[in-house]
Amino acid sequence: MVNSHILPHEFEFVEPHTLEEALTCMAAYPGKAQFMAGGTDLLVQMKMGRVRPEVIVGLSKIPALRYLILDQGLRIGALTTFRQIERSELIQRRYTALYEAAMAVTSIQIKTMGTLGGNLCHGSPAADSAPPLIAFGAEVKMINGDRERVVPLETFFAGAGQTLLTQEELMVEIRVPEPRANTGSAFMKLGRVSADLAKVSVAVVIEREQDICRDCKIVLGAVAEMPLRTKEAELILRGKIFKEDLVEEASLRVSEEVRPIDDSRSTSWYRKEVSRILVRDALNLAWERAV
Amino acid sequence: MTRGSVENFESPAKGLKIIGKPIPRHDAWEKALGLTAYAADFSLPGMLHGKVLRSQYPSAKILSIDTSKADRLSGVRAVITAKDVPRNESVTRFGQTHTVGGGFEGLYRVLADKKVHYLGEAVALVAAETEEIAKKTLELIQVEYEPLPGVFDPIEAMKPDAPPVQEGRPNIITHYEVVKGDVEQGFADAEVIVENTYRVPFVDHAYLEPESGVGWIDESGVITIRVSTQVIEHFRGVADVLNLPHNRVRVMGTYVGGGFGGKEDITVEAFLALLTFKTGRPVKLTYTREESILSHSKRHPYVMSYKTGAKKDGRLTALKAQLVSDAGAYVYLSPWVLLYSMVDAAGPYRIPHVKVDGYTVLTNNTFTSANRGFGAPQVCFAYESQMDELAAQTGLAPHHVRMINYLEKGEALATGQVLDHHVGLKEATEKVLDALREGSPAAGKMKTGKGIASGMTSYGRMVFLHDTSRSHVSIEMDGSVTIRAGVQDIGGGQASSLCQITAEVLGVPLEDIKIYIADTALTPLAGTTTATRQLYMSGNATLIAAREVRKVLIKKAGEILGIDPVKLDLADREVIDKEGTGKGLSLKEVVRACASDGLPLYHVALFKAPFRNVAQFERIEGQVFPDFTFGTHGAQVAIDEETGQIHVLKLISSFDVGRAINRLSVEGQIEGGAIYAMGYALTEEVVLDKGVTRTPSFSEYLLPTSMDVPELTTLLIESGDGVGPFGAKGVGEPSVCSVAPAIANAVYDAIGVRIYDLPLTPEKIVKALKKVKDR
Ligand SMILES: Cc1cc2nc3c(=O)[nH]c(=O)nc-3n(C[C@H](O)[C@H](O)[C@H](O)COP(=O)(O)OP(=O)(O)OC[C@H]3O[C@@H](n4cnc5c(N)ncnc54)[C@H](O)[C@@H]3O)c2cc1C
Repeated sequence: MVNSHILPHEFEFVEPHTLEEALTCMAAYPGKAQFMAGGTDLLVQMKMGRVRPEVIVGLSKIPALRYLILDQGLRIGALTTFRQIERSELIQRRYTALYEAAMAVTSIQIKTMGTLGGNLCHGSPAADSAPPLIAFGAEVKMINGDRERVVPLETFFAGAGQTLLTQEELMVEIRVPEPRANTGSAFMKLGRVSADLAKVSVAVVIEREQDICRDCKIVLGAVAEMPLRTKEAELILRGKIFKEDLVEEASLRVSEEVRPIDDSRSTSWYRKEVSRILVRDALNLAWERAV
Repeated sequence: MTRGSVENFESPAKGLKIIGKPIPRHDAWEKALGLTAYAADFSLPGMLHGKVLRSQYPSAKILSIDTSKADRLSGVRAVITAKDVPRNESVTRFGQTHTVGGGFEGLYRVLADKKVHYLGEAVALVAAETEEIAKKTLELIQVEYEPLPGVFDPIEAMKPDAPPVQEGRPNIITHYEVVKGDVEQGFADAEVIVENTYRVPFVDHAYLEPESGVGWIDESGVITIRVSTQVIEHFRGVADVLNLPHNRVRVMGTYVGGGFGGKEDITVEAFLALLTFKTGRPVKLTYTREESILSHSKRHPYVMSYKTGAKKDGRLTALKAQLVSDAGAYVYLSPWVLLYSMVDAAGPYRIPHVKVDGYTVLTNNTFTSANRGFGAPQVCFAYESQMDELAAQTGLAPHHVRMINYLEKGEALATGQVLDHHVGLKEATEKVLDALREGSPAAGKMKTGKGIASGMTSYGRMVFLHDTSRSHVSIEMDGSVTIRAGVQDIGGGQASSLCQITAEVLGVPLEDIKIYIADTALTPLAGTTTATRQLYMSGNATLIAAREVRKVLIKKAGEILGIDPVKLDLADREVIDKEGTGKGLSLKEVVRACASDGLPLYHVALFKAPFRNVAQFERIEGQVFPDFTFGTHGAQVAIDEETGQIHVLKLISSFDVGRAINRLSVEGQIEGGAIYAMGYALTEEVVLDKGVTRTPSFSEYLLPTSMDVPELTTLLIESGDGVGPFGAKGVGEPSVCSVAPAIANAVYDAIGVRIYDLPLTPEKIVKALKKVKDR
C-alpha cells in the first residue's frame, strides 16, 4: 500500500548551484541519479514506489535555469514555473493558449512549485503545458555533459510516462517561435473539479488571413498515451475558408483520431464525445482571437 | 460569498446576552494560528511508531502467518497477531450504556483470524523505533493466503447460495419494515404513480485529519490513549480487548480534525492499547490517507426502489419502498443506519398508506458505518427525486406538491411517531423559494435550472438506547468558571456552545470560562459526539448544572442584600437587582460568602433523553427519536449539455434550528454541510471493483475545493421549539440531508433529464441526454 507519510527508501540529496555542477553531479552517479525540479511529480512517484533514485540532484538552486527571454520568439528556462507563466502579460497576449494552460493548473501551490521542464520531462499525456507548446511549434534543448541537442517537442514524447530524455540528460530550455501576425490561440481543459488534472485538454493555434485559415494546429492532452496532434483534422481546415461546417468536420475527425482510455478520471467514450466539443469551441475562440 | 438571515418567531432571544449571538468560538484563534495539538501533533519521549499489516485480498483464508523474520529486525519492539490478543472477538458498542439486543450489536474483531473478509482488514500490528522500521517490518511478515470466492453486490449477497461473508451467520443482517394502512389500496386510490430505482455510492469521510492517536502507560499503570475520536467511551471496549478492568483504561479525546461519523467506531484505540501493553512504551499510530480510504468505514451505498402514488391535485396516497444497504464485511452500525433510513424513508409527508422494507447485507466490501446524516441523505435523495417526478407527472409546481403534503406539528410519521414539536418546512421552503427568485447569474450557452428538496433528520439517539449525558459546572473563588464535560469536540463548536450556555446563566463573559473536555478519567461522561446529540444532551446537562450553581449564588446574595432572590439576576460578573434599586454585589463577593458557609459551588447534572423499551425491531412502530430537524435546500445550476459539466451557481439552506445558540457556529455547520453534500451529489464515490478500492487517494477520490464552492445562503428559522437548551434543535447532520436531491432536481429542471444514480457526473448526463435524443 502507498504510504503518503514517508518516502519509502533513503537517497542522497545534492543541490548544485550552477548548470555545470548539475551536470557533473549527474555524471558522478551514472544510472543512479535523477533530477528534481519542483518535485511535484517526482515525489509522488517516489511515494508510490514507482521510481527509486539513489541520488536526487535538486535543480531549484540554479537561477540560471529560470527565465523568460524574448528573442525572436520566446526562450523559457526549464525551471520556469507555471506561476511565472501565468503572470507574464506578454505570454497572455502573444501565447494565449500557454497562458491559459498555466492558469488551468490545479492550485497556487502546484503552480508555484511545478516547472515547465518538470511538466514535460515527466511525460504525462495530461501535462497541461504540452498541447499549447506543441501547437506553437516549440523545441526543447537538452544537454548531457558537453553534448547538446534540440528536438521539436512534438517528437519528444515516446509513450505514457516516456520521453526521448535519457537519464543523465538535462532539459535546459524550451524555445517557442514567434507566432506569425494574425495568429490566435486557445486552450481548454475539462477536469472533475476545479482543481484537477485534465480528463481532456485541447490547444489550438490558428493563423488567419481574412476568412481563410492559413494554418492551424490542434493538439490534445489526456486522450492518448501521449499528447496528440491531430493532423488529419488540421488538414481539413488548412487553406480553407473558416466555416462552421468545416469546423464541425474537423472536430469530428479529431474524435476519430484520438485513442482515449478508461481510467479513474473518465471513460474513453466520454473523452471521445467531448474532444469534439472542446476542439470546436477552441477553434472558434482561437479564430476570434486571430485578428 | 455567503449571506444569511434569521427569522425569529416571538423574539425568543429577548433578554439573552450571549445565547444567539454570532460569537467567535473560544478555540478559533488557537486553530487559526495552528497551535491546536491534534492527535498526531503529540509525542512522548521514548515513543515507538505503530503500523498495521492489512489484508491483500477481499476474501481469503489465512493459512499461516510467519513473523519470525519481522521479529528479528533490529528496532522492532512488537509484532502482534490475532493469537496475541487477549480477547480478539467481542461485541461492537458505540458508547451506549444500555444493551439493546435485537441484532443491533455485531461482531467486533480486533485482528483477522483464520480469514480475511475485506481488502485492508487488519491482520497484524507492529511497533518499532521509527516509522521507517515499522514499515519495513510489515514487509517481513509472511502471510500465506488462500483466496476464497467473495460476494460484492448486496443483492447477490441476499441470495441463498451466496458465499457467507462471516462464518455461521446469514449475509442479511437485518430486515425491518414500516407499515401504515394498506399500500395496495393507496395505489388503487392514486391517479398518478411514479416508480424508480435509485442508487447512491460508497463515500469516504475525507476528514483533514486521518485516524490517529498516542498510547502510553501512566505512572500508576493505567493504559492511557490520547486519540482523535467521537466516542471516548470506547475505553470500555478497549479494556475488554485487554481483559483489564474498565478503570484501568483511560481515553482522552483531542480536538478532532473532522469526524463526520468516521470516528464513531473504534479506530486506532485497541491497536494502541495492545502495542503499548506489549512494549510498555508509548506508541503513536497515524493512518496514512490511503490506509484511511482503504480500510476504514464508508457511507452505506443503497439500492432504493420507490413507488409513489398521488391524486392529480398532488395529494399523496401511497408510498412503497425497498431499501437495500451494503454493510460491507462487518456489522458495525449498519442496522442502526438502516433503522434511521426506515423512519425517514417516506419523508416529512402526510401519506395515508406506506410500506417500507429494508435490508442491510454483508458483502466482502469495505465495511460501512456512520457518515454524517446516518441513513437520512440516502433515502432523501430517493423520496425527494420522487416528489419532483410526481410534480412533472401532474404538471404541478415542485414546491406545491410539497407544500400540500408537508406534515405539521401534532401529526404522525408512518411509524406512528407523533411530531410533538414545530415542523418548520413551510417557512423554510418559502424562504428558499424567495432566495431562488433573486437574480439569475448569467450562464452563457449553458442551460440553467432550479430545484428544491426538503428533508428531515433526527437529532439525539434512538430512545431505546436510554441516552444520558453529564456535565460538571463549578465556580472558582475569583468568580471564574470551570466546566468539565466528557464531550468530544469534532469542530462543530461542541465545547464552545457549553461555554456560551454557562456564561449566559452565570452572567459572566465568555473569557471567564474554562472548559475541560473528553477525558474518561476526569470529565463526567457525556456520551458520544454523534447523532447530532451533543448540544441537545450535554447542552441540557450543562444548562441544568449552571442553573443549580446559579440558584446557590442568588439565594446567598438575596440573604446578604436582604432582597427576594427572584428579583435578582446575574450579569457582567455582578449580582444585580432587576428592579433597579442600584443594590448589588460582585459575583466574587457572593462566591466567597458561599464558600465560607460551605455551600456547594459546583453541580454535576445528569440529563436523560426520553427512554423507551421495545420488544421487537422487525416492525418499526412508535417513537424512535426525541425530535427531528426539518429544512429545505435550494440549488441553482448551469449545465453544458454538450460536455455534461454541472456548475452549481447557488446553494440555499433553510432550517428551523429551534434556537441558534451561536449563529456563527450554526451557519458554519449549515454551510459546511451544504458543501459536504455537494461532493456527494457531484463527484465523490469510493469505487470498489470486486472488493478492490479503485479510488485509493485524493487524486482518484475527488472532493470539491474552495474553488468549487458556489454562492451560499443560510436562512435560519428560530421556532424555539426544539428539545435542546433554550429550545435549540440539532443541525450538524440535518444540514447535509437534502442537498443532493435539490441539485438533482435543478439538473432535471435545466435539461429535462433525471439521473437516478449519484454522483451526477458529466459522463452520466451526456449519456442520458444522448438516450433522450436517440429516442
Ligand atoms: C496536487 C497536484 C496537482 C497537479 N496538477 C497538475 C495540473 O493541473 N496540470 C498539470 O499539467 N500537472 C499537474 N500536476 C503534475 C505536476 O505538478 C506538473 O507536471 C509539474 O509541472 C511538474 O513539475 P516539477 O518541477 O514539480 O517536476 P518534478 O517533479 O521535479 O520532476 C518531474 C520529472 O521530470 C524530471 N525533470 C524535472 N526537471 C527536469 C529537467 N530540467 N531536465 C530533465 N529532467 C527533469 C524529473 O527527474 C522527474 O522525472 C499536479 C501534481 C500534483 C501533485
